[in-house]
Amino acid sequence: MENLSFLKLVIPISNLKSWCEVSWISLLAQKHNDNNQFGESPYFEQLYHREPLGNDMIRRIFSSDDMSFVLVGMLKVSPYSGRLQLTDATGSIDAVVPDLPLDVNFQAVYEVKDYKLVIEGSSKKIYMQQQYLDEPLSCRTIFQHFSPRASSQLVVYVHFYLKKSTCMHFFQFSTYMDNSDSLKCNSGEMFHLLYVTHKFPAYHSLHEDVSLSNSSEIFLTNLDKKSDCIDNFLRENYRSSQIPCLLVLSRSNSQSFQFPFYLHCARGFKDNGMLHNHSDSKILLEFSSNNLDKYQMLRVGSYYLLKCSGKGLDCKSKACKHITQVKPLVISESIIWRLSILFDEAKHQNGQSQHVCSCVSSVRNDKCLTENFCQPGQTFLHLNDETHGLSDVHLHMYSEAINQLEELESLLKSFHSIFPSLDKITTVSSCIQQMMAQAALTSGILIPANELPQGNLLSLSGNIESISIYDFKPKCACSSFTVCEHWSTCEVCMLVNDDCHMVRIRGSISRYAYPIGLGHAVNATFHKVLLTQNSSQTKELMLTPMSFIVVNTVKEICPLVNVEGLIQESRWNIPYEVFINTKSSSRLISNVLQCTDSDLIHLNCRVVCIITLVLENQTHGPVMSQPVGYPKITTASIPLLGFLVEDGSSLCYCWADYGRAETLLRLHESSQMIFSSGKIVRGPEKKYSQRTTEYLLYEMLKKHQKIIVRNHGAAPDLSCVDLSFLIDSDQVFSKAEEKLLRSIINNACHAPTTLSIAGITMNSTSAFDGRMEFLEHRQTLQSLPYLWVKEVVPIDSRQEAYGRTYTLSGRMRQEAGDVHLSI
Amino acid sequence: MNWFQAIHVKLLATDFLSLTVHNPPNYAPTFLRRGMKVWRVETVGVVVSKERTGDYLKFFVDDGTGCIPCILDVTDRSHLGLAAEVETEIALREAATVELGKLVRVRGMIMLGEEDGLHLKVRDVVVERDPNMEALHWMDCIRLARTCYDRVARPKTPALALPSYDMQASMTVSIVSC
Repeated sequence: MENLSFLKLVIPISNLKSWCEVSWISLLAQKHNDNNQFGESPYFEQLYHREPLGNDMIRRIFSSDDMSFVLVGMLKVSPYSGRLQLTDATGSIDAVVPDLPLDVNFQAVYEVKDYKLVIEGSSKKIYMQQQYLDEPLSCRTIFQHFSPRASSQLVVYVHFYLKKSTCMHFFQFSTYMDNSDSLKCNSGEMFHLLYVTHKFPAYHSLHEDVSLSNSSEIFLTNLDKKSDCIDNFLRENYRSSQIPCLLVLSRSNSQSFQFPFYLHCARGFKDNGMLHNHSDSKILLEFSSNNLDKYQMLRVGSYYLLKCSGKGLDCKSKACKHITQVKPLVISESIIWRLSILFDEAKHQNGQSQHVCSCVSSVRNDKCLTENFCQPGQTFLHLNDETHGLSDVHLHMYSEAINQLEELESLLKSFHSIFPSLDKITTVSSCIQQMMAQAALTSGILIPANELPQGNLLSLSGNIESISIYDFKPKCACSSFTVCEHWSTCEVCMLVNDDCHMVRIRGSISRYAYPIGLGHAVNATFHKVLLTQNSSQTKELMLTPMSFIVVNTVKEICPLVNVEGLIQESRWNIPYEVFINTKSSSRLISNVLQCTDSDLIHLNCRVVCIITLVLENQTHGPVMSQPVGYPKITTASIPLLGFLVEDGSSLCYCWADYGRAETLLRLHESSQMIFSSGKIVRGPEKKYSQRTTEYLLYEMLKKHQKIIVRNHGAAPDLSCVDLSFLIDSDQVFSKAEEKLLRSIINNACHAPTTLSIAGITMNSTSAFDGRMEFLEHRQTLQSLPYLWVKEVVPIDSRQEAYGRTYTLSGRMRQEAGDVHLSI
Repeated sequence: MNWFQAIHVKLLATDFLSLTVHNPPNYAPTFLRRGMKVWRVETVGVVVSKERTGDYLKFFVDDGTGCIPCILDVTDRSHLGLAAEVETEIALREAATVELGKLVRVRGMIMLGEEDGLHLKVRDVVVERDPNMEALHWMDCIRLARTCYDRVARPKTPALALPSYDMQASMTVSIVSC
């Protein structure tokens, strides 16, 4: 019998979506004993209301190698979302195709064998109709007729490269066209060389006619077909306003054509041998609603050749007057080629191009921005991939003197001087610096509340740590954009960080502007966000109608892999056992001494005093190993915090570290506390007024590496006045730094929130693991019970009150007879 | 070391106002609740009166069973050092949050003043945004009284035969959804 293992199943896209949901259910079922407890626990719902996405989000990336089916469909751009989709007769799925050419054939059918399937969703809310729990890949379900199903709560999209896919020729589809003729160039034809500096996001107008535009610099060219012999004009033409080039029109599977020509700067001027372009030569290209595909495929920072046609763009011999006066409309017949410009040192013999020495084909490679984003061994996906030779056309520009690098450099300079540079894409840390610099300039200047936001536009790249989506318009009863299909805009709030700092970006985003893959644990570039000042004079970043978001890299998130460990590390730990138990399970501290080791004790208490605080600089260490899915607070690490808590019955000596310690110290609240009173923590030379507590701690620890704070205050006052500071460096410990630490410690002791702490009693000292020096510090405290804190949550007053009332009423009925307690 | 001196005992206002005061000459006064010495108190209630006099903020906290006078010292002691400066800042910030009608949680030391009588010298005062905290405080007061304070006062007495508080009258506790 023949080996048929090479055969793979082709499934309809609707079955693919069902398979995704079934796989999701089984994925969650592996990690939780009871899926329903998340969906039905009322306390969970309350606490997670409008919780930032990412705390419970999972993203899995499945490779086609691990799956037993291939995808077959046609490419189209959805009229509802503006996104590229792979579609068949049963449905469609969002698709990311990094190497999609501008003149892709939307009539062709593609067979995709090599792809990545991305599924994102919440670990809690799963809705599943029973009928789809059947095997989605069985013959019965594939051939059975489906009725349109309810919207999925999962985000599903597929990522593949077109060059690795097979274009299938079906002769019965008479509309199929071979588009290889599009790469033709005739003598006398005019092209416009465009450089895309920005893409405005698409909006759905009232008449459902999508109006899009982008802006670009235009540079007029005169394409002239010359003979193969070009040496005789190279030297003198370069000295004028013309640059010699070789145009290579090629496609991966078709013949290439080469044309020597020179680049002519019609509106530039020459200065000391350098070419310049007028800075006001910007145009807006408008795309009609049936050309969404061309709009989608344009990339910011790339070069394109736009062929002049009599219809859309009417060009005359050397100057296109129409382009400077009107907003040219790109129509279906417009031919756009993506261009790579290569600076080549080698001679061209018989039209054969040689090696490339430098390339200015597109926007800078964002790999350098994402190299720290993905951990070794972690699955990730480049959605904005610039490294696969995506250009249709290559323009080779070569120096007249092959071996003289100076000529090549001046040629490069000339070229760069013609084309403007993109807005510099800043990192989050650089953005913070700009915010602080501007805050220092504008401090004390009040902005009237009714004025429109003002500020500078900048482009920013970073990793999205969390994203909150809310306030859908028009209103729809959903909290996830995946479920609601009728929204046009929504409000988002994102926390974006690099390895050191975090900023918040908020604003309104339209459905068309919401890119595929945007979400938690994603590296993205935000073009033209507004750096403005809000009513409380805090610098913030806002999305504007012209902001454009590009998702660069997405990575897998599997928080359920180690649920317990991740929950312990989070800022607000939500031990769900606490909320399943409707009776109050908290104990009094006076009863803790009766507990044995390793008992998990719940206390409702308040911090009364900090005894020991150890801070360490962790810039190169465990910051990278912090669990994903939770906001990154600081690179300052708290390996140990010793503190006293009370609940009215007794005192307890507690110990915590890292995330729990940060919660107890209220680091996220300290900024407001320290700076809202009007008295700022002043450094020796600079104002710290706009810096967060985390940033100040980071600066301090970068300087001192390790700081140990001990409280020598005498009982029973338990004040935090008599503190000693031990630093692990030769640097001077300034008063400002001391004041910051004192403020943090005092704030922790004046916490407004009663906390629910879960920990294990430590009748032995085994948990200290070599940190015994902290135990010797206070002999008087050794008579108190010790507790190692595992979880810290804000107290749920309703649950606690219910529990106490239940317990009390039962006892009272037993002891006091007829007592009425009505609630 | 008697750690009870450092604990802020949770008392209802009616219990606080009925503390037994022993005020021997040349000694600091002591305060007893049913034979148990009390040094510090925590209360939760609504601010019903507020007065700023010089370097002191005096306000009354009503928890439904009575009003507890509280005095917050906001004297500027910044010249005494960084620790005093930080404490002054925190005191000023907390004083600014005390407003009429707000539900607050106050911890302080029991004092006896010539003019003010029995009052709390405020250690910290925070605004409680959760209205259920008041009811929870009542529950805590009852629970601690039954399981802890009364046993400290009368250690040989078994668990209460009669409730410490008069529960014969019906007490309505409303749990607020928020």
